[in-house]
Amino acid sequence: MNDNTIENDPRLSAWLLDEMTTSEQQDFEQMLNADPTARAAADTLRTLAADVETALASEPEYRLTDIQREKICNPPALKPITLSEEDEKILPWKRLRYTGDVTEKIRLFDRMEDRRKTANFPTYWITGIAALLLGLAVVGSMIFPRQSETAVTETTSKTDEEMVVSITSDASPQERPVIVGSDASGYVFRDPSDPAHRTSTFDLHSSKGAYLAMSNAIQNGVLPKPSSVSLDQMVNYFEYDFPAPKDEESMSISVEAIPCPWSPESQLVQVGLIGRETAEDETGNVEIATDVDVQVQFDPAKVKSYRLLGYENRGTGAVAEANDADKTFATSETTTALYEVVPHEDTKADDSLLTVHLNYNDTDGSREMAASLAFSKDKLWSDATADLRFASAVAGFGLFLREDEQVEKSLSLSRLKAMASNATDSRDKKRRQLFVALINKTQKLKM
Amino acid sequence: MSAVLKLSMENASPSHDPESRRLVREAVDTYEMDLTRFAMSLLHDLGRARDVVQDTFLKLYQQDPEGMQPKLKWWLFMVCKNRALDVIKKEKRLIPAKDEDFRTLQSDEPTPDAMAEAAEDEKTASEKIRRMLGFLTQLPENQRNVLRLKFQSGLRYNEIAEALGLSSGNVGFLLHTGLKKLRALMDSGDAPAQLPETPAFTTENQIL
Repeated sequence: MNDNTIENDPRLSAWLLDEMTTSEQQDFEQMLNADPTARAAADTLRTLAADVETALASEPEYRLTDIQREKICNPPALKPITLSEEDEKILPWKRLRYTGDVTEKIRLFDRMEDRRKTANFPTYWITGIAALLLGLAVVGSMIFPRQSETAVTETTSKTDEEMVVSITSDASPQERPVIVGSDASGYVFRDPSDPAHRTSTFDLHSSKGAYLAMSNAIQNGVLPKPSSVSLDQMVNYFEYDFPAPKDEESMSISVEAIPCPWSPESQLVQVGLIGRETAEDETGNVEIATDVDVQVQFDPAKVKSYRLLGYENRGTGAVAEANDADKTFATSETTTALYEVVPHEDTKADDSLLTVHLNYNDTDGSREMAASLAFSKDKLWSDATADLRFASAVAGFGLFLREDEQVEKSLSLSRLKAMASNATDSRDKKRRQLFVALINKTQKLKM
Repeated sequence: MSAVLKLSMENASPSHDPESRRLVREAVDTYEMDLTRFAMSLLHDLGRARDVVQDTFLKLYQQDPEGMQPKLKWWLFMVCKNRALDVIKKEKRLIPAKDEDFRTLQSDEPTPDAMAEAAEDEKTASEKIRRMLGFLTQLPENQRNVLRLKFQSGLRYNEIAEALGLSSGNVGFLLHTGLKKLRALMDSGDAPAQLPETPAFTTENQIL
């Protein structure tokens, strides 16, 4: 076949598909009239085009899921907020960036206080930890000259101060779980009317390690050690469809709440941070948001108490600062934190329970944004997105494995399985189905 | 400070402008299936294809509804294709080597639902159509995309050019060449090297 034959002439298709200008069309039709071969070629092509159209029309009718369609047509609203001067005073994070890690120290100290108060917590553990810390402090102060005294909080006594300083300046990341973790008694509820607990924060990154370890243990017929079960790693193992940031933003916040499946008076709140998807230019580089700081601020007038589910091994300020990567957020990255929030009995629908403040730097400079969560008092379980229902099931299962009293009392594995299996419709469907299988397996182990 | 926060909030929340909402709803009504099929042909995975289409529609909220009307069709396919390419790039970047360690745990067996769906497809699609769809996947990507946008979604040459970042003349050439190649394959009497995509044959590189 030679290249000049009419079969190779793209004008044949253009003519057939009405893609010619009037004059082109007239010229081409004159030629067709004069050339029977060209007419035959046009007929063949017409039949073929019709076949292609039929074939493509009979492809499977792929569509979005109902949930996705709903999300697109009725995107969840973030309520605009303003900060009062009072809020400004209480919100410590801006100041903290420059003055060191005071909150971290307070938080750590309080955590130890809580330990002391926890009735079930064996006293010898307290003594053991305290002795270990004091030992570290002594050794630390001998080996390392203390440099961070200026940042030490005024609320701690001398002894506690030494303990805290020793941890923040001397503990290596490997020691984190030993020192502040392994609290098998459960995640601690905080009272936001205490200024030290007015705000809460969580790590930007979670590894998959704990999920895989938990999953492997169950596959091998063993229930994992309760203290080794990490809720944040479990929840972040799955993918969630948060709305993407606007073009000019590198990050955005998503907040959604659901009635807490294991506690009727609580709300389960999902806080999502979303990094912008890869830009459409073809540089292929990962645009990174840096110096990211997230704070969840609770309104003590509306919230009686709250607890962060996971992140119990969160490093102290010094440890966190030591690793710059901890403060950066890559494109397309997402992080999910779950809070169990107990509103006051007289808190009304639409009252603002909490506000998420996000602060970061990107190529355009420093940015801040915030999103607050209104109390949807009458929200039903079925009103929530599949993502949040699924995350709730994962958290519930995690708490179950951690032998959380409340969950053990009020949630069965079959209920958790039903919750999860009704919420697998997502881009990581298969992974979610495997999670349902994992609950199944756990059920058998428990029998 | 308060003013700054307020401003950035407005930027952060999805637009609730009624015009935008109407535009998005119309776009979903009209293009949902074609876009999902298009994304599926690029990604071969329904979950990811849906994800990309969802992103595409959500991006529409950031556009000026009035200016969008005339270019809506090709704009949707353009964004959809770019998003799909992003996903492909990202997947390549994100699947770490250590996942190999967990490969043995994964199962590629289709779910019962997907198998039922595939059986249904088997019944409805005639042999000729199946062959043609199979051969379509063997065409070079640009030809395949042009044929799909023309014969499935009815885009004009100039719209296809905008959507795929080609010149109009190039679109005409690719379409004609694609048709010719398809005809040669159909006439050959061979079976396609690959069967058309059905949900049953999509797999995910996921670890347990």
